[in-house]
Amino acid sequence: MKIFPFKTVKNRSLFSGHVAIGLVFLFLLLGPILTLHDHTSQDLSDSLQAPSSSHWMGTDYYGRDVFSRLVYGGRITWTVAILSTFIAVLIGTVTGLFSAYWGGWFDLVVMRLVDVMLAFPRLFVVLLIIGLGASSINLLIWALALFSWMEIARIVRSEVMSKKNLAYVKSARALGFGTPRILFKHILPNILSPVIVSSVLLISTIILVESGLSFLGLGIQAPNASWGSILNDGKIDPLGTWWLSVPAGFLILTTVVGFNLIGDGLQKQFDPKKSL
Amino acid sequence: MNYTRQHQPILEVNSLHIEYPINSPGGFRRLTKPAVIDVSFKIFFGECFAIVGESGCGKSSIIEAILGFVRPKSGTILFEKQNLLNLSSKNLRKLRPKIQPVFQDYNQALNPRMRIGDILREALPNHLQDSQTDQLLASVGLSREILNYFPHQLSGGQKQRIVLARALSVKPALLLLDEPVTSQDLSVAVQIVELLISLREIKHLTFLLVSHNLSIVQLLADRVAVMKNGQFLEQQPLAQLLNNPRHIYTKNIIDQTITP
Ligand SMILES: Nc1ncnc2c1ncn2[C@@H]1O[C@H](COP(=O)(O)OP(=O)(O)O)[C@@H](O)[C@H]1O
Ligand SMILES: [Mg+2]
Repeated sequence: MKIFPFKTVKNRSLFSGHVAIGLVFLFLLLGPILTLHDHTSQDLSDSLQAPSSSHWMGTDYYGRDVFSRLVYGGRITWTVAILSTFIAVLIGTVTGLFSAYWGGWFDLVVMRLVDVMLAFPRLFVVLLIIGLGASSINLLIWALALFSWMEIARIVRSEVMSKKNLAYVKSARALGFGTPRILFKHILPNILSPVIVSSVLLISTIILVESGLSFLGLGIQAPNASWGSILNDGKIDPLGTWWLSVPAGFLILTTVVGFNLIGDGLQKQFDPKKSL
Repeated sequence: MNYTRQHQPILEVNSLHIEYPINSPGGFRRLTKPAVIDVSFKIFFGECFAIVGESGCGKSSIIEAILGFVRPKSGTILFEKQNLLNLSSKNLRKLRPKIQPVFQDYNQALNPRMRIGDILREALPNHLQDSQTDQLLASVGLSREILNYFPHQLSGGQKQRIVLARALSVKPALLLLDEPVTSQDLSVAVQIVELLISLREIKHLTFLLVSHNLSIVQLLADRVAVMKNGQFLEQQPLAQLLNNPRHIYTKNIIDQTITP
């Protein structure tokens, strides 16, 4: 049986994930070259046109070109997801490291905070923050980041706990090295694999949350677009205006599945005991 | 060695008590389990003092306490007359290089993400790094090629030699050897013991050796303490201990040890 055509590829999830993300990335990268339309310029006489040679993916209610909106919306979705993941990973890693290494009251306070914050559904809290403040992309990025660092902190903490009594860490302490050197040179490089895996998975979680928010009209605001808001534009008649809902949904799905596949693939890659 | 210095203790441990918390199911009362009970000993400059006793008797706990990784319940640990337990963390860090450990588990003794060269250079001042790493390697009988290797590319014996070289890089006075050859093959173990004997001579080191194996202890120790269930049963110079054990437990250990 040759279900999978690439015999040489051992890690299939990693490979398929890279292909999916690579294709979406190319679309976002090259999109602006392929389109002559501005993604915000309206033309009401051109409202809700089906795909044609002038508008490859049709137009929305205001006559804006959907192809360019998918490109620019995707760029915003990716940027928001990657920046908030980056911030979340930074916060989670540093708090997890110090929490585990220092222990004591700092550890206790941080871990209780993590428990409390994990008890709230992320979407609900982010909704609340955005509802209270003026919606802006910066606010969205920070709101997503501040409610996503906890899992990373937990993972980092438990990884550090498993390493901090190993002989090479004890030896480093005995040599007189300070805490920052021990944490960042001797412990962190040895716990990177699970951090990288969960960061990649976090990107796709955040893309889903952001798309959900924008779909509800609370995330990215018009005239800017995001995949979620384009999906929202097509919600009145999803079948009739399929060129609004289907491509946006497809891009969200491909990206989320792609990052999940990369995450799973990396996990297998980093853990040679598991079969690929 | 200077005669007067030789009769000064480099390390003096007095009535050391160590306890560990036990995780009790209910958990509102903090239960503890004693691991080291009223242990006292002195180690003099240049000698090798050994603690022998079966696994779990508390040997490593003493070493961890000297290194400052475990806080004893009571007692004092004087290194060159300074109580290590009263030092500020800043002063403790300054003093740390003088006391270097060698652990049993050589497979976890070297950071897997660092090359051997970087491991050896890490504690050296920049301008001395190249000349010193060569000297360190030579002193433990290894060649320069190894500098570019990662730890997993080394044999067990080579790893333990690098551990020794790294310890020597900070010019220690006291080595704490916690089962240093227990996990090695016999032939490698013999080579490492020989290396330890010669390093002790050349570098004027003092050893605290901890092992469950009297045949290793015999090769290195000047004086021996016998430990059981957290307590010292007796301590004597090696020859006296072997010829004239005061305790039946000691006698059993000696009888079980095959003497060549
Ligand atoms: N970190 C720890 N937490 C709880 N108990 C410990 C810890 N370290 C050692 N012990 C217990 O203390 C006793 C002495 O252990 P250890 O000092 O390692 O003995 P040895 O080195 O002679 O084998 C053992 O019963 C061990 O289970
Ligand atoms: Mg031990």
